[in-house]
Amino acid sequence: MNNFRTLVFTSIYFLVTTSAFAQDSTGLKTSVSVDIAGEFSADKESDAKDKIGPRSVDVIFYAPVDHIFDGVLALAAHDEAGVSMFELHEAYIGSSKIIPNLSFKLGQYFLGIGRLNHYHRHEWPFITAPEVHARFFGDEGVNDSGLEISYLVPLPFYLDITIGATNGFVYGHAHDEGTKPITPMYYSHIKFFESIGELDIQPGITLLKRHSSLGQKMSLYGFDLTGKVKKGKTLVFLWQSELWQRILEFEGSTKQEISTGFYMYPQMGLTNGLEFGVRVDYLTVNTLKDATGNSVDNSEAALVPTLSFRPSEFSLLRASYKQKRSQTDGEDNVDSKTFEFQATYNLGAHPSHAF
Amino acid sequence: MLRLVIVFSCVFFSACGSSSNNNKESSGTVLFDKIEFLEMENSTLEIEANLIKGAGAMVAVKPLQTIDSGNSFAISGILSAGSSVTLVTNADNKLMGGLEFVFSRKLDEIDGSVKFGNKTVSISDYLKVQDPEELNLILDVHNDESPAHVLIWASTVSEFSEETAIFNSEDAVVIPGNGTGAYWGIKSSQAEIAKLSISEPKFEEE
Repeated sequence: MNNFRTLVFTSIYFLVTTSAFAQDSTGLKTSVSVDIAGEFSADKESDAKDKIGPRSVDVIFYAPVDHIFDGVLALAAHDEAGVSMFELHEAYIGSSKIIPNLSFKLGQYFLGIGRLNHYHRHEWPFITAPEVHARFFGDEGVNDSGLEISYLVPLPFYLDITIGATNGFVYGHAHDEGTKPITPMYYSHIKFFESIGELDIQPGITLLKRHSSLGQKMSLYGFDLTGKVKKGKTLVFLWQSELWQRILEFEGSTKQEISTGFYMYPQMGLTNGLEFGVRVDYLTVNTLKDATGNSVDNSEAALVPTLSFRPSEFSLLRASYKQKRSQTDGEDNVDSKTFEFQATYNLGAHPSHAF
Repeated sequence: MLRLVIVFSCVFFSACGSSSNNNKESSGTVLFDKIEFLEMENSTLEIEANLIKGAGAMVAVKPLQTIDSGNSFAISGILSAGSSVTLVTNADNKLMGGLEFVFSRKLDEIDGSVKFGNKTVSISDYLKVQDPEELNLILDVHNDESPAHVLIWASTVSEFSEETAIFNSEDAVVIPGNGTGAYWGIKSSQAEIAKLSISEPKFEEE
């Protein structure tokens, strides 16, 4: 493992030191994003770790490979038991120049589903994952290796259809290669876009299916809605929300576990780079029953007011307060309160995102 | 005289019909270590408020948060010669389709294994530090990882980490699957169980 770390650091050093030289002739761009985050308990029920430090360091290289293809390599260092370990986040080749209106990625990438999963965590408008995202996709997101194709349908209105299939050996954050699934994981995301006066909105719907080698069948259905009002380069208003339903089934069992959750995050742009938003989280297992067969009402809900200071696109300071309530039939509610802090900065260029 | 016969009959039949579970709730469930359990059919467990003896099985009434959740279980008791106890997690409410952690007394050692369906892996080598008669373990079962990630600690540890675990499936043997349900419970054969509890996982990967 030490050899691997040395290799990665040496590679990064080599690429960083040569990228300035290479940038002019090949278009290679290097982006380093540092995400410092911390959480502190405000009551005894909070499971905050009460510490702050680098949560992740993302090093991204991207460039045109030639006149047809583009390439991306993203490495991310995470804290693993107190040691920062680099791992491969994304490595793919893609193109939008072979077939009109069609682009693709081949390699390892974050799946193009929903809204948050498209983005690295340091680019999110809040510090930690909403409850529904954490439960269904992990604290960061789901990446895998495969092929993703997006087609901008030539219609009078915007309609983008993305389909993808990936290995599906693992799902979410993993430290091993997993095992061959019964079928590859496949998914689709259909996005629309509409402008209503100054408000631009982008609704999308997602379907994802996975059938693991262990016989677990997972179906995910999602609806995402993003709205923005921009004045010049300033984001005056942001609306971001996702609604998800997950169905788990197992071979040999007729029972299903159905869970539903959503988050919604309205945010206002204030003056001098300040932004303020409040996220609302909700998650429930619809089919939860006790051992005697009685339904058990349950929910995880949270309210997360968030204040950000973004003087430029390269730096950010953020603070939030998370009040969470876990409720289960027949038990006392569990309320927890946590303060969260984040500072991020980007060195070098940063790839632009669509909407 | 008739009244005496009726009273006597009531006392006699109620004594015959009652189980040895003094803490039986009106709903038919039993409380053990402040947790409500439901006994399986044909179970002849003797369940007191702080001791379980006999043979049989029982399932906790309260389900796990979700099938793919992580949970920590503590189990303590006496394993006399020939006795065994099985902690079943992430199973259905009949304790089927779950991960089974089987602990049995074999001479001067605890024989341990993890079963899922028809697959079994032995974890006996990791239990040799345990007193063969006294079972005192804390088990983290992360069924939200695939396959399930299991860590076992002696209940005497104060810091729960991969380093202090006597068994860590990521470094030892691969757990043969994932539990397919949201219930947990025990199956016991003449073991004496003094403690059973469930809590949030002791170990969380960053």
